[in-house]
Amino acid sequence: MSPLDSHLHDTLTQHAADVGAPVDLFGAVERRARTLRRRRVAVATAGTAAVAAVAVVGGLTLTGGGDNDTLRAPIAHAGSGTPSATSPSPAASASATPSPVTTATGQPAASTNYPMSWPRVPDAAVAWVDWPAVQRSMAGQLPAGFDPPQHLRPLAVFDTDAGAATVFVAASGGRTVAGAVLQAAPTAAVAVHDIDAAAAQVSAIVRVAASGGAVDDGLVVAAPTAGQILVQQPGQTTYSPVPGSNARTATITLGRVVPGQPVAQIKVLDGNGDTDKPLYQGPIGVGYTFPDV
Amino acid sequence: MDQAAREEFRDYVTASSSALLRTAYLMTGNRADAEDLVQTALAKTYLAWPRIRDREAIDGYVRRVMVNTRTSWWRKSRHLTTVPHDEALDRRAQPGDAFADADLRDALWHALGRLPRRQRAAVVLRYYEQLSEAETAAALGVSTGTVKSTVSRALRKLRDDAGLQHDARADLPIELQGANR
Repeated sequence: MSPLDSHLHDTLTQHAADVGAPVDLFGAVERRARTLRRRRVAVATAGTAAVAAVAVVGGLTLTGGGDNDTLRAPIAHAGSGTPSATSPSPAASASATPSPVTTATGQPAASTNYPMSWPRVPDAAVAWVDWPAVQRSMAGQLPAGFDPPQHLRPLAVFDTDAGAATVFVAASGGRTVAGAVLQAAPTAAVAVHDIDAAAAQVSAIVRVAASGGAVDDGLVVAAPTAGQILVQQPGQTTYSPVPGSNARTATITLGRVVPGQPVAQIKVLDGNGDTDKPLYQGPIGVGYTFPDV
Repeated sequence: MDQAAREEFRDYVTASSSALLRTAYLMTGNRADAEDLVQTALAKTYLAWPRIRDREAIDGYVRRVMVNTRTSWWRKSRHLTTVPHDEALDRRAQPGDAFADADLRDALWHALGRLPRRQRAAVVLRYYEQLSEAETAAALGVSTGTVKSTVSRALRKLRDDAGLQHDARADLPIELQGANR
């Protein structure tokens, strides 16, 4: 070995020794594998008009800005159209994850016009949604004091393990609420929550029962004035762009969300490449820690 | 993947993840990209796991996936083409540094960061993993002749690297000084 060979080996070995062991790599790998598989399937089926039937049990949860305004709208077996019952626990384990930080965004105050400021997806992309039924379903889930939702506005369509899902916002009196609906249950699968005027993101968790156990997909849409969405999975030490996502929407494979355990942290940037300040930083689901999943 | 295969893969990840992360770090130059690279490479391996019959060849397979993935990232320009180094892991020589060669190692490390990605990968596989030329060729998906020429060009670049000459000119060993004469 020449002196240069030796110096190279020593230099590389020295720097490699500073790299600590990864944490929970297997969980992160499984989540990423599922994302890759889903993307490959999506690519393989792109351009075809056929929509495969979803033969899994899907449950959908949309979590909100606080414990009191979190509602859950379970989704029945595909095609049954009958939601099954769940019993959410009131005891959230907020200690498992840091509190979210939401900074001022300069967005308009909550009003009936506020949902209109979110860019919507084309009608053709959500032609499968039965909007009148969704509106009725949503109205039935809103807590006391909420007006019937109006101006439902789909923000994005996601490809989840439970099939296509769309996240939308709606006006409820002076508030803006959000919901989600799966193509597998286009009339009843709605979940809602209150979002405040400075909300930098709307997120939903879609749960799918699979042979290896339940798995969760996180759907995130950043607010109109927001920018890129970054994610930090449990065990990771840094935030990274969500692979394959657009700037303002993201599908995040969460694996199995366990009550009281850390969940993925997301960071929504301000859309200004010069500053890249986080408008929101905290657990996916606006600071809620999934008390009963 | 059935449960037995899943457990087998989990065992592989547990046993190899630290080594893979170190190699990925040397290829990428920063921890975040290294984690991303290892996770992606292992995720692709996870999907292929049931089809991989020769378990003895797994390490080579994963290394090749890592190299190809990094190349793919570079082509998509999703990651920087120049390698940002983690400042926290830099080893700038300090007054009284116990390492006599700290300056040289520091200069070499930064010079490595300026190598093209494939040359850097070849150097890491040859001088850190200490793979043979044939093994390196398999990991890079090229011929052994290409490995020889790639490593040769990398070494020449390291010798010619302006930063290396500037940072460590006083400590350059003879073979590094030769290119500057």
